[in-house]
Amino acid sequence: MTDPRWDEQLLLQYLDGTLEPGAHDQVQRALQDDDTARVALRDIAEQAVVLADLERTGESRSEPSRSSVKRGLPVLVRRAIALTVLVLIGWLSIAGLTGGSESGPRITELNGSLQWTGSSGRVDGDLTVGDVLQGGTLDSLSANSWATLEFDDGSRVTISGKSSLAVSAHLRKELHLWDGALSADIAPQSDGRPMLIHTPTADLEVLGTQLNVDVGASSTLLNVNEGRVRLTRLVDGQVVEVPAAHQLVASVDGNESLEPAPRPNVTGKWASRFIDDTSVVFGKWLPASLWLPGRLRATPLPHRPCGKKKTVVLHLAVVSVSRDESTAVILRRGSTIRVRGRMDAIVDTKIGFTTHWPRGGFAGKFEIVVPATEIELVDGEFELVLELGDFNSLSKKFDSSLTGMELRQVWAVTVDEPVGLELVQVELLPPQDQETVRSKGWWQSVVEWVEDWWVEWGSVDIAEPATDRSTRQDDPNTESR
Amino acid sequence: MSTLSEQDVLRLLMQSRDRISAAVWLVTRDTQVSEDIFQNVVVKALTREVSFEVEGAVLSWAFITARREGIDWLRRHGRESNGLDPVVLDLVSQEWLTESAHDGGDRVSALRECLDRLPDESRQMLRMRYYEGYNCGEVAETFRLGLDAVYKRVSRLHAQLRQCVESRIGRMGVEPS
Repeated sequence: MTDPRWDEQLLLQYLDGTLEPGAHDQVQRALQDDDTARVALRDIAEQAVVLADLERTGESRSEPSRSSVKRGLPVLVRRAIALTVLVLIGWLSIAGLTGGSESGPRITELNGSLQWTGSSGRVDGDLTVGDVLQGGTLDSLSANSWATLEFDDGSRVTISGKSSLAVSAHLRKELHLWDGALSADIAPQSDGRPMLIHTPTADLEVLGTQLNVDVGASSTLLNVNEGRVRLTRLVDGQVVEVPAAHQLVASVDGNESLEPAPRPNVTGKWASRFIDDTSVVFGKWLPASLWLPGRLRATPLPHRPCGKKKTVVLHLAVVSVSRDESTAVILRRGSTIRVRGRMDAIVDTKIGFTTHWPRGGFAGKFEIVVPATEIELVDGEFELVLELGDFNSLSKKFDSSLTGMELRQVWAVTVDEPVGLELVQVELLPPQDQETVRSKGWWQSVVEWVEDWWVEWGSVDIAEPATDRSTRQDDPNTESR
Repeated sequence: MSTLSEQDVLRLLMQSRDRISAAVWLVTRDTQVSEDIFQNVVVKALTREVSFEVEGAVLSWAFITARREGIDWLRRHGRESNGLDPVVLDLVSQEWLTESAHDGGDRVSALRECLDRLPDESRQMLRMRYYEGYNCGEVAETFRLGLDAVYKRVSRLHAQLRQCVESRIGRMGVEPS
């Protein structure tokens, strides 16, 4: 050793709290008075985080040691204990002595970047279908990611986009949606044991229903599509029952009315209004200036794609359609999405959107990469007009017609290069009737018109596979929408 | 005075990533949580309304915010304190702040190379302790060693790594790049 400087062993024991009181005080004093002691402490901390970073990014030379190195009892003894435990569990199950205890929800679908943080604080970014989650937080980290969890009774919960959902470790179904969007198909629950969904501004008690929850910075938007949900506004404790086909906003303002409102008719046309940050899901809202209208600026988001070693920086802007528009915005055959924005330099840009089934429920995410060569900048501004057919489904499961789907969010993202991406306006434009008639013929147009009319009245889910709705309960109230 | 651009802020934070994470680790003693908190700090820095005018302000804010998030994390997990004196944490953070980003970057590069040269068993021991979150008692059980022996070996590894880093930095200083 070139320099004895400080005894690392004392520091390690000090950090672990395993020193005798006298020695502990001695180290404490040394750390206050002796800079060489602090250098040693800093070295230990830096070595710990750099080593963890090497392991995390897969730059280690050997496999993780948890299973291979963890030793202790001889193998035969451990196998005997494991066998005994398995036999005991099997016997308890057969004898019905486990009381029918529920396990945590299981991941049945996932896409994009997701992260599970267990109650011990351990982070797992390598989730797969079939993983059981109990006691921790599931984060959906980017605009194009989602996960569907299924409980033992068939209840399904999907989070999508930038969302954070804590799953209770208790037997009762209890979720905390800290941020983002959740869609749930809840099987009928026994009376007195409703499923609980907590948000920063409201508590929801669910006995069996289909609902969507959208949590913003200071409010919760609840859409009940089937069944009935009891909502408690946290700011004043006011309780209200929200019936099917109704919606309600519970904010931090206790003076606001807490009356469920029937969901108004659908529309096939929508335009963002960046007059404030109401519709901003991710990004920085910029108010109108003398020369420019209000707009949404993409903000950087460090992101480690699944299976990749390197973190990339996404520059992401996400606008919520549902927070911006009380009417359900429906995609129709021939609809187009027009994105007007600004950027300092032309780069490949991804545009995507999230959809729900006409009566609620997550229905997939769709995305297109617009190559830089197809973007034209005029005075720093660009305009993209994108046909629905140009978008690719991010999952084969949802690779069906978009007609009749509800548009929930739209996002734009560039990767790595900060080019000052800003969304000035995002629009859903209705089909051009004349073009449709010309290109598809009279009879096809009549058929599509009838389909659109049917969707608009909410009587039939045209685009939805019947198998996906098998677990949903029938509720005559939905017909009244 | 003009404000720093988002790119400048991001560059500064990424240059100081290991030092900020290390400061959080001293609070939480969990490398995974430290990384998460660092990522949160980056997002906060880039989405907050107030802008930064000088580089020092960015790092000073980042160290304070990261430490505060670390303390919040401890509280959420039912631990009021990790036993480390707040005065010591202040001093250590201040020393990290005054170290130039360039020097810190060199040291971290050297440290990565040194870690990569460790024998497998040594690396496994450090991995268990710092990446997988086992305490020294559990490491001792795994390696069938006494607790004191594990403390000795881990502390010796820390000292060897420090020596290795110093010798590499020394070589960088005399050899033309």
